[in-house]
Amino acid sequence: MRHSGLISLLVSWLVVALVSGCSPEKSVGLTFSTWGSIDEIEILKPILEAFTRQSGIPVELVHIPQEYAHKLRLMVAGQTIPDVMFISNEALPGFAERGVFRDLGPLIAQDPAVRLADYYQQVLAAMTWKGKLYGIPRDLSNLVVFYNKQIFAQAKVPYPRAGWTFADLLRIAPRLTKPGERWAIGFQPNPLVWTPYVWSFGGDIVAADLSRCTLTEAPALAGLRFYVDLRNKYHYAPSDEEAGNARMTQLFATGKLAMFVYGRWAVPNFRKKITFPWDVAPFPRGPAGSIVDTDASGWAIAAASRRPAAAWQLVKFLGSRWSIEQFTKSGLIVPSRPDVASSPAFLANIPEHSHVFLDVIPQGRPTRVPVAYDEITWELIDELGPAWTGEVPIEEAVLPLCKRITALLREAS
Amino acid sequence: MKRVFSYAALLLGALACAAPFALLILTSLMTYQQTIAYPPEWLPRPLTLENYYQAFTTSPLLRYFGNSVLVAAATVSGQLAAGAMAGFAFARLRFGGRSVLFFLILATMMVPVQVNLVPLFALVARFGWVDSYWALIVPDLAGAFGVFLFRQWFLNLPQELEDAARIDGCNPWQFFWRIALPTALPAIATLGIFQFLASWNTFMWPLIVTNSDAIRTLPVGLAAFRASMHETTNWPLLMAATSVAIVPAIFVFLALQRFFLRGLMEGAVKG
Repeated sequence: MRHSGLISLLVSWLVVALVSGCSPEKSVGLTFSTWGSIDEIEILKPILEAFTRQSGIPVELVHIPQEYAHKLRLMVAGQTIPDVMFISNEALPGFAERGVFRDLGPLIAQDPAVRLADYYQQVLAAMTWKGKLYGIPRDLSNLVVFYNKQIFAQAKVPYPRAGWTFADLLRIAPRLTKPGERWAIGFQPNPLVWTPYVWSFGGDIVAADLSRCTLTEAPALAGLRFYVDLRNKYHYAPSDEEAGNARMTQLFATGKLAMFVYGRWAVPNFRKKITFPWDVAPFPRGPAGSIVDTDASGWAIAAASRRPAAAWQLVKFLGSRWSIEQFTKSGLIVPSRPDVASSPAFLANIPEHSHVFLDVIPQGRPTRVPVAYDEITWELIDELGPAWTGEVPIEEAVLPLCKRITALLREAS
Repeated sequence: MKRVFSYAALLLGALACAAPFALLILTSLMTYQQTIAYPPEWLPRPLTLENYYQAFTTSPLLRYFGNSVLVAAATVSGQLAAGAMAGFAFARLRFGGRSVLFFLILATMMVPVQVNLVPLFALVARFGWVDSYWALIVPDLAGAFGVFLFRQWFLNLPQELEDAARIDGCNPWQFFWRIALPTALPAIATLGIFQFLASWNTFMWPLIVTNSDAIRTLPVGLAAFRASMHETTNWPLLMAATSVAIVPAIFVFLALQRFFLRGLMEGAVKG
């Protein structure tokens, strides 16, 4: 019968599938999880190979392209956690609080090969939770102003320089803006990008002790008001309609923005794709100074790792000068180590004033990361949407938002 | 006049369905510069195949492809075998607890996937199946939907057919295998397409249970083309890889379509 042929084909598929599916090779090496695009993995692979050559320890790379924290949480639940994990300062407290990571303090104390003085103290702080260091940092991530030199030259406006202020921004913005066509500055609803406005006006999102939301206080409101006015009152920044679906990186790369606030990670693409001259400058000064974030990411060891000594060897290797240099050369990161930051690996190549990323570190401030960081970030993005478009005054939008954030903070503590 | 309207409406509908595919293919043939141009450009100028070359050379796309085919073939086979046999039993055999059992199987359809995710992962991890084909295939070998579909199909078989088979000496298995199953081709095609597309497109589960490129399926592989965090995605490259990935889905749908459509209409009129 014709159908029995079909069925037996299906059954044989099944058998082949199951037989070929069995016995994956279990390596004796370390498992190491990381996120990152393909380009980033291409930088990482030779570093891991060099480690294996030197130490004889094979490393199995667990590349998690999306949903990194989600998968890590499941791996914790399933007791299949990798020995070494790449982790950001935003995700660190949630895991550290649950005892997922090993305290690196004792390992560092016994190991003369690692000197904490080799790293920026701010990135070490970002990798620390409740007084314990959980990660050897790879990079320092902060914000600067990217600017299009061509637009400034055409408008006969001098380039922004260290010490420039919010008043300067308002003064030059009209000359850089051509309504409907070109804008002085970008506008992003992402809290990462508008937090420097709040900080530089002397405000904050949450109190230093993480006990309550402080967005309703006068300095924070002044920062938010300044930011939202750039777009809705003065029209120096594009509206949602004007930006269309384009992101600010795209608008900037296509010459539609004179300036926008962003981080080092945009540099590899800008080097490849932007044809006009561009550079970076510090964020403008407000009443409280020019304060941007100091975020970081680095490598942590699982508390449950069965090979902590080998895991420590890997983390040390990844945090070494040579390894950090490899990541830095691509343009993707501000290195966690001053020795690499002051070398050509970071400073050669465009942007010309790369040292701006380093100059702003001393006034930088680590993002305050409570355990409920993810939930709070979602609230900030959702609830402020109507304020960014001008439907609701920002002063009104923050009232219910702040109550909810305070509730989330209390729940978590 | 009426005809003009209906043609216009159909044309509009067809355009709406085809537009995303057209955009996908067009973008895959563009340079990156062109995709970020503002105002947007629609036609590739110059036309380039570079993205396809890149898609195959920067990632093990063929390996992902093979894994996807293997997992889809295995789960489709399993779903068909389990669905047909269980559906037949629930429709044509009498046994104690039949209704309760059937209800329990149906009840599993009410549990959202997300609820199962953590316990299922914990179970698979305990079996030592993480990062193996077992984890991708075994949890998907049978499903309530297939059982339900085949049960409804076999309920509609005339009792006379079964009686005639009995008189000719068929036992229940022979009736199932020689008489009932051959009539169920539309149900086989329907479940086959559903399961194939579900398996081909599923993302979260393979992302969670696979760690290495050797085991990963296409959707997880494609995710690596998307930039992480705040970097900028190389859209034309992603679109080229996606274009390659959707070919089998379209092919399977077209090949089984005639059974599929018949299956939807079958039983609409009771004979």
